[in-house]
This record gives sequence, C-alpha cells and structure tokens, in this order.
Amino acid sequence: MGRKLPRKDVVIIGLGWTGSIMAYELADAGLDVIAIERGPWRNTATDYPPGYAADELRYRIRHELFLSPSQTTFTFRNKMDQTALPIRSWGAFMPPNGVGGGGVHWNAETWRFLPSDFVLKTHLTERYGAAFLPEDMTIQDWGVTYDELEPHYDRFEYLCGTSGQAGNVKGTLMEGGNPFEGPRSRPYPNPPQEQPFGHTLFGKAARDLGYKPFPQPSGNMSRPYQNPLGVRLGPCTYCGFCEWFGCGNYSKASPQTTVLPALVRKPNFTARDNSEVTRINLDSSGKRATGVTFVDAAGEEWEQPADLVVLSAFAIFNVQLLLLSGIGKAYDPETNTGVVGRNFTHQTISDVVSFFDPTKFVFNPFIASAAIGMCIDEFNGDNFDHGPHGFVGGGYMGQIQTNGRPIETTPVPPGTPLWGAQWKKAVKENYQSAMKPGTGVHGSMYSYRDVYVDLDPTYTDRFNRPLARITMDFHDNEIKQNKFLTDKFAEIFQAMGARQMVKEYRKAPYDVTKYQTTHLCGGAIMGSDPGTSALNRYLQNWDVPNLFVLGASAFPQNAGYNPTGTVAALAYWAADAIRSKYLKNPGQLINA
Amino acid sequence: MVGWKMIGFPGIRYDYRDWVGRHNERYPHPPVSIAGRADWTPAKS
Ligand SMILES: Cc1cc2nc3c(=O)[nH]c(=O)nc-3n(C[C@H](O)[C@H](O)[C@H](O)COP(=O)(O)OP(=O)(O)OC[C@H]3O[C@@H](n4cnc5c(N)ncnc54)[C@H](O)[C@@H]3O)c2cc1C
Ligand code: SF4
Repeated sequence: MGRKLPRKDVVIIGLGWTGSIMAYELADAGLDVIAIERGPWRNTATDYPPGYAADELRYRIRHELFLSPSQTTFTFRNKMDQTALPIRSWGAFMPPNGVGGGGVHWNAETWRFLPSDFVLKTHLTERYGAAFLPEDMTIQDWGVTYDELEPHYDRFEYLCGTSGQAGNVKGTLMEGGNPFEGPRSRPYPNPPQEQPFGHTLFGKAARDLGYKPFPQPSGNMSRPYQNPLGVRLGPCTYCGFCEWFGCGNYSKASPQTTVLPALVRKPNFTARDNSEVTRINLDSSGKRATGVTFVDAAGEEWEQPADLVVLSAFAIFNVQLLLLSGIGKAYDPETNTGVVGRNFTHQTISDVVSFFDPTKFVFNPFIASAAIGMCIDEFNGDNFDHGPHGFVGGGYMGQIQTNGRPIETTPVPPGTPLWGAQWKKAVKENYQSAMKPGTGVHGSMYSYRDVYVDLDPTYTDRFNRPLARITMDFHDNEIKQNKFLTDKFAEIFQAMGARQMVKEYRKAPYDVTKYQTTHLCGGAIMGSDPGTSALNRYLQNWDVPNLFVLGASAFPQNAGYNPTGTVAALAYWAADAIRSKYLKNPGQLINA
Repeated sequence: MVGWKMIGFPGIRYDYRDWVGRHNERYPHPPVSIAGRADWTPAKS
C-alpha cells in the first residue's frame, strides 16, 4: 500500500458526469471532497477551442479524447464456451477518459425513461404473462419509480439547459411533444433547437403516417442559458462537429459547461487528475471502505483514506473495480449466483440509409448538432402491443443525423466500388441528397443469464491485474425487435420520397468492432433484493454501506433511450439520500 | 480541399445559425479549413 494522504470525508472515483454532480452536492453539504480522475484535466479553451476542435481526423478517427486501449482495455467474447480476446482498438463503444468523462464528447441526447421501464418485469408479466418472456431473460424492476426520479430528472435538465418540447406536463398532453413520456413537473428550460431540412421532412412524413413526431431533447443550446449554479452556456451554432468532439463554443452541456466551474470554486473540493484508482480498500471486517489506492502519472502509489467512497468511474469500470476490490459476490452464470457482473447490457442500434433525387433535395448535412432531429416514440418500451409480435422491448427512432463530416459521412448506394473514379462520382452525386441518421433506431437491450462481466483468466493490465471480460451476444428477442423497428423506420423514409433505401439491421453475433453507442449498462445493478442486486434503491452497496456506486452500471436492463438523463437523475437521487438520510445516520439505508 | 469543393462540404465554418432554417437551399460559401483560408491569408512573396 502506497504513501498515505490526509483523510477526507469523501473520495470520488472518476470525475465525469456523475462524479461532478455528486462532488458538487456533497461539497455543497459542507463535506471535504476529493475527486481522483484517471485521465487529464480538460478545459474548453485549452483542450478543444474552436480553432481546432473540428479536426475530424484527430478526434473522430484517431480517438484523441478517449481512453487509449494501451492504458486499459477489456477482453471480449460472444459465448461462454469461447476464449475472449483483448479489444485493441475501440469499436462498438468508446470508453471515456479525463475530467468531464463521456460528458465532454457525448451527443447530449437527453432522455427520460418511461414510467413502465422502472417496473419492467412486473409490468410485462402483468400485461403478457410470465410465459411470454424468454426463459433466460433476467429483467428486473429497479426498486425506484419514475415518480420518485422525476424531480431529479428535472434538476439535471435545468442544470444542462436541455432544449426540448414537453409532451406531458403534470398529466396534460402538450402538442408537439412526446405524448408517451411520463408526466414532467414543468417544461424544458429551453425551446427545441431549430431543425434542418432533412430532419423537418422526417417529422412531416411521420405525422402524415399518423405518428406524433417531436424534436429530440437536446443538450445543445437553442439559446443562451444560465443554469441554477450560475454557469452560462452559449447558443449552439449547428457546427456539425459535436459527438466524439468537445464543443469549443460552450454550447453543449457537459460537466465543464454546467457544474465544474461552480465546483472548483468550493474551497472544500480538490481533485487529482492523471491518477488511476486501482482498488477500493476495506477494513478487516470487509464491511467498511477505508478509502482508495491510486497510482499517479509517475507510477507512484498513494492511499487516500475517506469516510465515504463514491464510485463513479463509468459503468463497466465500476464493475471492474468492484470485482478487483472483492466487494460483493461475483456473478456466476452457471449457478446463477452472485451479483457483480450480472445483467450487463448494451443497446440494439440500427439504421436506414436513404438516397434521394439530387436534383430535388439539398440537405446540407453538415448543418447539425449531435442531439438534433425529429423522433417518434410509438415503438418504444411498451408503448405498443407486443402480443402479436413475439418480442418485448423497443426504442425511439428518428432522423437524428448529426453531421456531414467528409471522412465519416459520405454514403454511396450499394454496388458502388469502394474507391476510384466511380466512388468519387457517387460521393459527389449523393453527398447533399443522402440521409444517414446514424443511431436512427435506438433499441433496448434486455438482460440475459449468459451476458455478463467477470475477470479475464488470461489477460492483464499495466498493473498486472486481470482485465474485465465481456461475454455478450444478441438474443432472438432483440433481433426480432430490431427487424420490426427497422422496417417501421424505413417506411417513413419511403414516405419522404427516398428513391433507394438500405436497411442496416442489427444482427447476431454482436460485433465488437462496429460502433453502436457507448451505453454499456448493468453489472452492478440496483434493486430490492441483495440476492439479485449489488446496490439498494439509493445506489448504496449492500455489503459496504459507505460505498455508493453511480452510473448506468445500476440499470437492471437497458431501455430504448440514451442513458445519461437517467444516470444523472439517479446521481441526484443518491445525493439526496446521502444528504437527507445517510449523513444523519451513516449506515445501511435499507433493511433487506 | 479539392474533395471538399467537389462534394460541397464547407469545411469548419462553425456557425450555421443563419442557414439552419434555409431549407433545400444550397450553402453558398467556399470551404474553410482548420488552417483558415488561402484568400484570408496574405500571399507570401
Ligand atoms: C461518443 C459518445 C456519445 C454519447 N452520447 C450520448 C448521448 O447523446 N446521450 C446520452 O444519454 N449518453 C451519451 N453517451 C454516454 C454518456 O457519455 C455517459 O452515459 C455518461 O458520461 C456517463 O456518466 P458517468 O459519470 O457514469 O461516466 P463518465 O462521464 O464517463 O465519467 C467516468 C470518469 O471516470 C474516470 N475513471 C474511470 N476509471 C477510473 C479509475 N480507475 N480511477 C479514476 N478515474 C477513473 C473516467 O476517466 C471518466 O472520466 C455518449 C458517450 C459517448 C462516448
Ligand atoms: S453542434 Fe453546437 S453544441 Fe455541438 S459542438 Fe457544435 S456548437 Fe457545440
């Protein structure tokens, strides 16, 4: 164990979205807080100013803002009888690194989950009967309800200045918003962003088909905004270099543009960057965390003692650190026992690329933000009757194209050669008149007995610790869901007048080389039974009550939305529980 | 920049607030790169 630093009230592991929110809340409660972050400190003005923020090669292709797999990676396999191999270049997801975490380079698509998502098992069993669910599906209720989380969703949206159109305010449906959303206590803090041509066409076609399209809730500012912490954001300029990039304009909600400026002014907050936490330390009873051990950039090992440990290192890193610290029983799929690593999920994404007549359509695809677009929610969650279809789950879908960046987004019709004069001709002809929504169909992924995280038996990291091993494949339920949703999605492009469409269904086996989203979920899930969850409903660890674990690792299964609205709402919910309950009487908050 | 001109990509113009609502109109300005634009930079002798 390394040299010991002075004790703190709270140590926060990872200073991304949830770490920043929790650090602010606990520093605000007067506690002495230190955050330890694996990657570098990042500021808008010095790290991604407008002068070079829009470098597609540097950020999109060479992944400058992300974790380098040479620092740490995961091993991957589809099936339990295969040997997992290390991921050496990121593909299906892009692990964040550095202050701000994923918040620096996210799209800022800022969704709430449906009320039924939080009671999924109960809801589906009541509506369709237990026999309707696949036998090896391990979905669970969350132990927290939408109504309980509503004020916390609201806080995050007002922190971020989310631009959107409410669909349901206190039970009253609002024209132009998402009619399926749970009731919200008040409208979004900012109106929706303006929509470019292609996105508007999609909305019109969807309406003509009888759907209720609405603008995607966006953390890209539709106008200047000052948040409740006094931090200001500027209006988004639709620059089209947004997701995978930092915003040089202070226009995208991120820890840097919403909470860190207020946090760093607090005298009882300190942070260390370029320092990787390698272990959460326990006392001899194994029931109490004493702090953390971390390694700084010089390779020096330190111990940071603290009374309260907050693990907010991003979903899969949370799971890995719990496993490496021996906290909670590791999940064993054979015996179906243990909780850490269980119910790991990702997302079921697909797309439809469509080609329009270049003499009639000019989309200017480079005019966009990363959370722009028009969506429909008719096929999400349990918003439609699944009875006739033989699957559960769903997702939102929309024309949410974020860019016309020329390395990434030059769609050509099938059959075009991959290079040379014919390819150039096709790129030229279609660049302005093709549509490529990207993550157009944003499907759920439910949990299964054989999809999980454990420690790899072979491969180790730079500290000689086992890498986390992902075992993941798509199951029939998700494949059926995706086929149904993708076909529905294509109908809308057909109605818009596309002359050719390419349906890019999501198929098994799960391919770790193709980007889907960075919405890894589960592995340290919340719930009401310590036998099937690692955390209680306040994200407090069942075994070590002075440890709270924040992030999508708490999701028992993933819904058909982006996770961060819910991840942040849960962080506020946990912060509220710590401030109002735990600090008064430190100990296990739930007697199970 | 030849490729950008060929396909009609205006580079990193950065601010399209004036054009986002101009639907189905071709964006009129030539590309700008991270290094700026030749005609914004004095010629070297
Ligand atoms: C390209 C991209 C686009 C995305 N778009 C969206 C979107 O539009 N909408 C949405 O809802 N979500 C989106 N996400 C996901 C979103 O970024 C995450 O859900 C969110 O950042 C999670 O917050 P977090 O606090 O759990 O983790 P993070 O914000 O990632 O923060 C975790 C931090 O912990 C640090 N850390 C990890 N391990 C250690 C360690 N051992 N010691 C010290 N520090 C450590 C990491 O470096 C990181 O800074 C996107 C992600 C990516 C990559
Ligand atoms: S699209 Fe808007 S929010 Fe995104 S990087 Fe550009 S200016 Fe910032």
